[in-house]
Amino acid sequence: MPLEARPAPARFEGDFATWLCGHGVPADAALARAVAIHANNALAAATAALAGNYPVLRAALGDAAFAALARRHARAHPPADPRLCLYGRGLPRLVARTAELAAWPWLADLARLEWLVVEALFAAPPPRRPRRLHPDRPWPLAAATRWLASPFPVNSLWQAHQPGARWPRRFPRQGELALVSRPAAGVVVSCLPAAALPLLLALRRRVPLGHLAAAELAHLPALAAAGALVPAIGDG
Amino acid sequence: MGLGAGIGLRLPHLAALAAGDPPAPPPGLWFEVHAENFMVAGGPRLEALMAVAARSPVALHGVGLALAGTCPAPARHLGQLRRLCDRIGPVLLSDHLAWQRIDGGRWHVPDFLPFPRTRAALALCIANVHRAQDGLGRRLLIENPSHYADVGGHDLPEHEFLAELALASGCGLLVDVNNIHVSAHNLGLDAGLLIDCLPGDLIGEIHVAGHRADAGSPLLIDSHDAPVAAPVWALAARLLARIGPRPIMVERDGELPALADLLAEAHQAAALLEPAALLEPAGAA
Amino acid sequence: MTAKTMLGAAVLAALAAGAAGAADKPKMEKCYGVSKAGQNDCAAGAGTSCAGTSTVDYQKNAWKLVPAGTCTKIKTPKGAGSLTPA
Repeated sequence: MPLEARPAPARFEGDFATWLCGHGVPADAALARAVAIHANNALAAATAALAGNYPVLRAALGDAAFAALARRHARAHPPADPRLCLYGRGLPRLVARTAELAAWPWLADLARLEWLVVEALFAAPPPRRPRRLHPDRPWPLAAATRWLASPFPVNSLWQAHQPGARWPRRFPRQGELALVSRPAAGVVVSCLPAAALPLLLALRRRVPLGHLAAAELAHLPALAAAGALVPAIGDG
Repeated sequence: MGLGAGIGLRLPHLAALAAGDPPAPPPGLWFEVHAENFMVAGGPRLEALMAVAARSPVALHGVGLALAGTCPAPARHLGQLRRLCDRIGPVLLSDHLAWQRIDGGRWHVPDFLPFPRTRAALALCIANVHRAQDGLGRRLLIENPSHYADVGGHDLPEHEFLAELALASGCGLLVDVNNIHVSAHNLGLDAGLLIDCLPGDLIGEIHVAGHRADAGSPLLIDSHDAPVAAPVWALAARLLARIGPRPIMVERDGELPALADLLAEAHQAAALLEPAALLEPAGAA
Repeated sequence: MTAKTMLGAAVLAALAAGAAGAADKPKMEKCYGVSKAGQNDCAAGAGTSCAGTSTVDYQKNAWKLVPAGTCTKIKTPKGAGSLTPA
């Protein structure tokens, strides 16, 4: 082939990208088949990552419906980062917007909770040195700590889908405040009273311990016990 | 002792190996993980790998540097990989001869895409590998890809492209023998000849893996979901007999068997490194 | 009213002890979903068992999104599919 007929790398990449997106097919049949394999690899890897990160949503929808949803998401928002263990942040938004799922309005929050579990799983570890508590200083949240205040019983729904969990006769009618924390080696999802939300927001704002309202302070032991705060020692 | 046979360490086996060494390991056993799975701020997965690396040699196999493209991995990615290297102290560090990033990096294709091996592409790869090695502060091994069609327009055969890349950038080569078998089958080439052309002194690591036949075509798919096939073992023996012992690794990703089964394959790989095997490889005429 | 006066050394010590106790009670079983969350190793390795084949019609999206999982089975006072917000 004469040198000028050699495709420049950018030109070749542009053509190949068009084929991968399905906006055209290469004239050569063997090349078209290879493009199909690469396109399938890419889609399979992305949807497998979504299935890995949203196991409860997958169980809730069933395999076929989840696969259809995952394909839609992978096409509309393909991964931008090769770290596929962190792929899929936008899936809850797609769940919320998908008309076919309108009859199950809690699914989007269930998906949001699952994403928080993923974030918690890969968050930075807490500092090794315990923090000395003092009324004039805040007690920081651990890096893995997340929460979701939902009008639906998201914690109960999530717990019911865990291995060995008992399926409840009926789910609570009221919403739940789900806490995601990583007290030791694993991520834990638990339920807080709705009244604990102001405390979580205050801790995120790094309000000094001594400035917390008494009603807020009442929920601090539960957060501490769940490992939602950095390790600490008292003054005594 | 030096690195002998290794296995791909996948998440289902990570906790077991973090807790203790496996029974009856082959000599010089080492582990290789996909780097991107551990390029995170923290958590149980990273801690388990650090526990393994504290006892055993661990290699990092990247799947995201996109070294053959006009849009290689951004500096942020190199920084994350460098931090992981600092934590793990990998005995080997590798990635692939492929491009992956489309639309200015808005789409990272999680696969290894082919390209015409032109002189311009070679210059691009050399620059990308230089940049990556500078950013990582370490030498890379670059892996030959699997081919499902000849994209055409090449200036150089793959072994020459890889040799020139290695000589110009200072990187080494990771030879995936299964990829050569699969590619030779799919492109109608002689796998033995491809093996014999590889520049032995640049090769720093060898992969063997399983593949499967495509359901709807005569192609072989580089699927890593089956035991290593006999022709791949024979090609590996042929390569090792020519170039001498190298760290060799059994790469299994799908249909993951029990750890003991993977170690049995690693024993098979380790046997190829024995002096007797190196003198008289299986299938040699 | 703030809690400053309530936060004596003994209270702070008790709170800190509660936090320290969290690390001693690993609840590993709780952290994993129907399958473990974030267990998609193959996804990082292209050309693995996640691989498609040449025959899958990757360009079409013919699958209908019809839930057949547990979300259709959850019973509420208002019937399936209507967990009532508070």
